[in-house]
Amino acid sequence: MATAVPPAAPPESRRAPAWRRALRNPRISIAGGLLLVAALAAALAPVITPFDYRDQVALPLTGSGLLGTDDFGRDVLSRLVMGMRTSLVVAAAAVVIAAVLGVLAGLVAGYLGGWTAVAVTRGADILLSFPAVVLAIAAVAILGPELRNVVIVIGVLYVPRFARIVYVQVLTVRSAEYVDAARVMGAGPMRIMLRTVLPNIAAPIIVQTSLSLSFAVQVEAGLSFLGLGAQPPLPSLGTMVAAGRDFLEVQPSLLIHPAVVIIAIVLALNVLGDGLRDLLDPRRAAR
Amino acid sequence: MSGFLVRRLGLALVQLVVVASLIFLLVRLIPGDAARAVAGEIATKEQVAAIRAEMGLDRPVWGQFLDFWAGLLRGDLGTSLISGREVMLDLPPRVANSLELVLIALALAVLIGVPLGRWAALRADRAGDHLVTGAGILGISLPVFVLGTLLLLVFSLWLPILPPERFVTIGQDPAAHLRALVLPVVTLTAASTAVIARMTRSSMLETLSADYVRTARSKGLAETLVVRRHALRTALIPVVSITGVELATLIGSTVLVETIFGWPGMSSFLMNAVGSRDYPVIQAVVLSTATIVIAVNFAADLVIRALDPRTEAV
Amino acid sequence: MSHGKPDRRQVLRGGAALLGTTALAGCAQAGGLDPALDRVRPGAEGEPARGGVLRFGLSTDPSNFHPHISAGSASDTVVQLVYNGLLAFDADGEIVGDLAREFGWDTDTRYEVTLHSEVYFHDGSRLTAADVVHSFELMLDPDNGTTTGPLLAGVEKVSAPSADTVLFELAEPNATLPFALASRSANVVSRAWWEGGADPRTSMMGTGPFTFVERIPGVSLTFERFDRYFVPELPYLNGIQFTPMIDDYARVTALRSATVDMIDYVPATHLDVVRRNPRLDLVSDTTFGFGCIGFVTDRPPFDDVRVRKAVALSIDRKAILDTAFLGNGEPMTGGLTAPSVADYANDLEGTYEYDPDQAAHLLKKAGVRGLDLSMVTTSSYSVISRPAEAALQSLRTAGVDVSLERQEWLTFRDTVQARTFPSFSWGTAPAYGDPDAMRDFVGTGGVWADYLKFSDDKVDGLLAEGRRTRDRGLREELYHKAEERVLDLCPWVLTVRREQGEAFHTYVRGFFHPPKGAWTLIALRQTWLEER
Repeated sequence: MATAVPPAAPPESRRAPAWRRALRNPRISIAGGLLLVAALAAALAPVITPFDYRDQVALPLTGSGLLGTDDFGRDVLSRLVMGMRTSLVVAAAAVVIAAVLGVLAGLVAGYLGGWTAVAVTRGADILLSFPAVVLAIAAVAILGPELRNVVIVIGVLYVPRFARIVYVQVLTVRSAEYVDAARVMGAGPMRIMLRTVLPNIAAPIIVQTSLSLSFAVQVEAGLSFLGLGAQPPLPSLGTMVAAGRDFLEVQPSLLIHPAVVIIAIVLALNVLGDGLRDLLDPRRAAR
Repeated sequence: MSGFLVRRLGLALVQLVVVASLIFLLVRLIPGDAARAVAGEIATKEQVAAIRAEMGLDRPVWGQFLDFWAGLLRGDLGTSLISGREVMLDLPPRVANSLELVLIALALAVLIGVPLGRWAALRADRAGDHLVTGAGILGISLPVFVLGTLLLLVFSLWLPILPPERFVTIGQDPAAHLRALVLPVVTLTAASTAVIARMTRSSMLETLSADYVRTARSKGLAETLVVRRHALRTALIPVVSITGVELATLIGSTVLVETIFGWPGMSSFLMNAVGSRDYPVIQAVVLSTATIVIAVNFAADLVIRALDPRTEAV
Repeated sequence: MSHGKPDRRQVLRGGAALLGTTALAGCAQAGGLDPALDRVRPGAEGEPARGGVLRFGLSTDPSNFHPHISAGSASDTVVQLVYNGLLAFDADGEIVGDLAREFGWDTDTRYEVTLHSEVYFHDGSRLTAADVVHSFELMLDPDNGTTTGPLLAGVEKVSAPSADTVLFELAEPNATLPFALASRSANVVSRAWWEGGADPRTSMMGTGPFTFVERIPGVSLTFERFDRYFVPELPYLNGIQFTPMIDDYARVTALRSATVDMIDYVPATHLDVVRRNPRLDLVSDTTFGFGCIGFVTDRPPFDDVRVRKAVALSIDRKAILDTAFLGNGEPMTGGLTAPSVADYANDLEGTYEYDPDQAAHLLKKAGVRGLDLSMVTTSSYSVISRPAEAALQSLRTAGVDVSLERQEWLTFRDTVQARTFPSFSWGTAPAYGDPDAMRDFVGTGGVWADYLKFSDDKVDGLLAEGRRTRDRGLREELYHKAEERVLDLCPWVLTVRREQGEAFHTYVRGFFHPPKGAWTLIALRQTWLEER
């Protein structure tokens, strides 16, 4: 829906299209390229990993294979790629949930205003005043320890972020001339929101999506670290760090490898997010 | 201003009521209860039932709910189902332990982050700025538990400067207490410092290019005066609000930090209580963290209103 | 650097908050022991040294101090410092007197205990036989839900025929009564104290060698020497201070850096590190803790004994031991009772060895193709989840596909009780070191037997006869038959016995870990510290 061309084009893209400028930006292309490689590896994980992530391939805690074996004698490289796949899939799915629900809530609240707006903004406040981990523990305990539930929990936790951004943005464009114009031309509220308002606030949503992905990777890893996320034998980067802690002295690489991968992914996502913001945010672009 | 105050306070109270009620119901949806936690592994159903009755867990939920609110209004958080101790006895030191970490980390983050961000903004696109920006983005990309575990590996094991210690209160042994404080605080501070520095920098850049700052400049005011009197003041508005958000984030991060460093704060108190379905303790801890977060947001709103020249007249 | 106005305000606010909480933390938690207590006075040649405070890193923060309801091993450990039972286990795991000076069967259904004279409670009052009778009446009252209650099943009356004797009268002979009397939750309390409204969960007052000083939850538990303890010379220590150290890695490291003198529950992943360290001692057993896979035996696919046996044969116990516990422990190819408890256990070894071919054959005979197994376990304890995960690998290799669901501890226990999953992977320990302890698992009405939906008249008959029999040789025969029968019916698969123990610095002396009898840290009562 975000691809729809608005009837009254905003004063946004008179220069080269955004994607072309993005490709020319070294930060965006390096971080994006890295993420693309990670996403590809994750997608092809079952095919490209040398061993099944569940199989014992050698004795525990040896140096066999490229990165050695873990405490169950499984190939660390294979598990690392699978773990990355778990983390990325969970983060992406959670952010999609958060973005869709949050954008909808923000649009509705911003456009309708009044009690709807109060309900949405206060609902967001209440959600944010809960310690996230408590909600996660409770939700996982009630719903069962499945990755699907982790996705839902992280998704719901990030709804307020999108809702707030969209709400504020809608407030500023609501009275803009092109919205008024659309209203005068007889467009219904639904049509105005989706066809006129949404495309005009797409930039902050895209930026927020990229930043939320970085948070979601961290949260998933944190929950898994506490044993609330991915369930063995399925690895996640967080569970691998947690497992590595037990063998800090015997084989510190068990900790270091997944730690480096998490940091690299989160860093790439943040660099990408920053780059996109600089690129898409008209105020910053004007500087 | 007073109308705003009353409205804002009312909202904060509503938030608290909703949070308290929600958590009461939420914890009871989790399978298993404290009676099973207390009864051993080989306890019979009858034994568990006897303990359950003694704890009052066999009463209807709505009755328990009314009792919970009646107690809360009297300022009584109840008695732990597991230890039998009054929650008010154990909660304050745990909250204090957590806040000690969080507030020191936050204070450091502000003390380092704000000047650093300002410094970088005044050198926009020069080497110093790139250094700060780079370090900043690395800082926000270090998940708390990864950083904590790596710090433990490096400073406790490879260079044993700070070996893991038995937690002692500051009353028992101040020096040992402070030593134990270092790694958890560093772990917590890193990301927040980066967030605050980044926010200060971008917000400073924005205000420095704003109309009224340009006007001030064109009036011939000295640059330091412009920065100090006009730019920084306005630029701090988003910094204050992000500081509020950071406090909530830091409180959330204590779960991981307290686990990694064995710090007896409220998060480890909470994790234990969740593990044994100790409802009064869970409710009390969640309620106090929610109160802190809500109060900080409230305070941040007030500060922003005081700082923002456009709302000062209201 | 110039300071703007709001900047300074921030600084001040941060600083004030900092001072505030630090002061709050300080006030709320001042406390601890007099440093003078730490002094150790060397003993005469060959005699224990006196004094000093033992610092102990405990794997769990004890949940409460109830003397009759076991709330976990950490709670039991501290309770046994403050209270005494009638009987206890010695360094060999044999039953000895605690408050009992003499004890034994009067007839087959009458057990008589003579108390030590001059035993005092910490409040200065003197222990009487009436206190003992009252304590056991509390334990026997089903409304109290005590841990000891079911162990004392069959006791009809407890009385005090004289000022220093206590008499237990039973409905029928029960050879395991001494184990119940020596259990960690059969403690004697003061009637006056109990009825005076004390809360037994938050306070402790007994006859034991240490008095309870204070507890700072999550931080410390402090005990001081009781000067009027009835055993002469004991205790040697001035005090014991426990610090909860839940994280395995932190606990072991604290021991190695001598931040604490001793720790419990040495994790399997660190046993070798501790064993290799010349400054540390390790005492352990492989008698009690074990892992198992249980089946719901009245529902497909496990209503067919051949399928259950196929799983038993598909498990490479050695591999589980090597991966889950890095080799620390023993594979269980025989019955539940450990060889250290009963001699017949050795004869049963080798009943279920790893034999995937035979397993496949059994499955084929049972008409099961590609067994797809869903199993539940708990993520809360690595001693349970690690072998479960290792078993998974072993089963996969044997062609059994398992989907393992890991639940949080209390959820898991609800699930197992509700029998939602056809199988579960658990680990626990028998309540005491006698073959009769298998009753909880496979005797009709036993808690675990209910999880397994297991009930067998022949097993019940043998268990009942074993209980009535006092002759050791005869009992061995009966329990041998019972275990054989259980192995044949295969309601559960035993996997490994894990090594479980405490580690301490070599200057900690006098501590022991009973190799059988029961899992207890009662030896802390007679531990001492040599000068470092």
